[in-house]
Amino acid sequence: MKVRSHLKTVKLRIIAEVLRSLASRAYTLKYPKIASPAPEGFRGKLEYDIEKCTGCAACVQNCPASALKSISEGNRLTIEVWYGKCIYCGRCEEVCPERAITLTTTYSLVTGRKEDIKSSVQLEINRCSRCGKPIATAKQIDKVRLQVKDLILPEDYDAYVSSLCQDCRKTLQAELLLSGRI
Amino acid sequence: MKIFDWSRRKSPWAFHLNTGSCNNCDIEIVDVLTPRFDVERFGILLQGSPRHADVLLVTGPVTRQVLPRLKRVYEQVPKPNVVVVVGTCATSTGCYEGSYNIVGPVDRVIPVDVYVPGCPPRPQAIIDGVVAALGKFKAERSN
Repeated sequence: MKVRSHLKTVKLRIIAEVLRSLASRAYTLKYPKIASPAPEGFRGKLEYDIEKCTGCAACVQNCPASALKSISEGNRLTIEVWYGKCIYCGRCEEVCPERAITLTTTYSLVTGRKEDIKSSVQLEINRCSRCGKPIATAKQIDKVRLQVKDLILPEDYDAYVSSLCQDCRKTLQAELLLSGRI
Repeated sequence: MKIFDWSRRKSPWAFHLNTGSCNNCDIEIVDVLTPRFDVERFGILLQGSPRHADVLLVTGPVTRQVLPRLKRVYEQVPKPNVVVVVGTCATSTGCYEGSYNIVGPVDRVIPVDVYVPGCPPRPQAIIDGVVAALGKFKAERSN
C-alpha cells in the first residue's frame, strides 16, 4: 500500500516537471542565429586609442605572453599586437599611463590565417638634431615638454634642448660651462 | 560522392585531442557539448576514436612527448577532414614559447584549417570555429 502511494507521488512529480518544462523557455542558447554578447568587464580583443598612445611601450614590456611588439624602422615606431598570442590578461590595460588600451568585449577572433589577426599603432620618432640618433616618439617629447612648462626656461632654449639626445645634451651643458655662459 | 559530402557537412563527428594544454580549453570544449550550447544541434558528436572523426579539435602547445601521438592521430583521421585549433597555446604556443619541452604550435606539425584564439576562447567562439570549419567542407564540395 505504502509503495503504491509512493509511486503515485513520483508519477505526479514527473507530470509536474513535464508541465513546468513545457511552460519554460528552452535552456539552449540559439547562438549563431541570435547574438550572445559577452558580459560587462569581459576581457576580449585588445584595442588601441591611436589618439592617446604616445608609444612609451609600457604595454610591450609588461606583456607576459609577448603578444605585443615594438618595431622601429627609420622614423616610424610600430606597436603591434597579435591576437593569436594574446592571453587577454589585461596587464597592458593596467600599465598604460595614457589609458590608450581597452580590452573590448569582442571575443570571436576565428580565422583561417593566424597571421591576419593583428592590430598596430604607428608613431613618428624624433631624431637628435645634432647626431641623428633616435630619441623618442614626437608625442612623448610633447608630453614631457607640457609637464615641465612651468619651469622657467627660455622658449628657444627649451625647444632646442628637447630636440637633442641624452649624450648631446651633456655635451651642450659641458660646452656652455666651458665657454662661461652658465 | 555527393552523399558522403552532404553527410559530412550535416553531421561532422569530432575527435578531441589534448596536446599539452592546461585543461582550460578542454573544459570549454566540454562546455560546448552541454545543453547550454549544445553543438549536437549541428549534428556534431564527440567520438572516442579518431578513425570515426571528420573534425580534429586540438588544444595546447605540442609537447615533445605528444608529438608522435599527434602525428599518429592525424594520420588515423580519414580524409577529407578539418583541423580546428582551440586556444592561444595551440595557435602560437602563447606563454610557453621557448620552453624546452615544446615543439611549437600545432600548425608546425599538421595542416590547420581554423584557428580559435582565446585563453580560453568562449564557448560561442568555439561554435564559430566549428561553423567556419563546416564552411570548409562546403568549399571542398564546390571545388
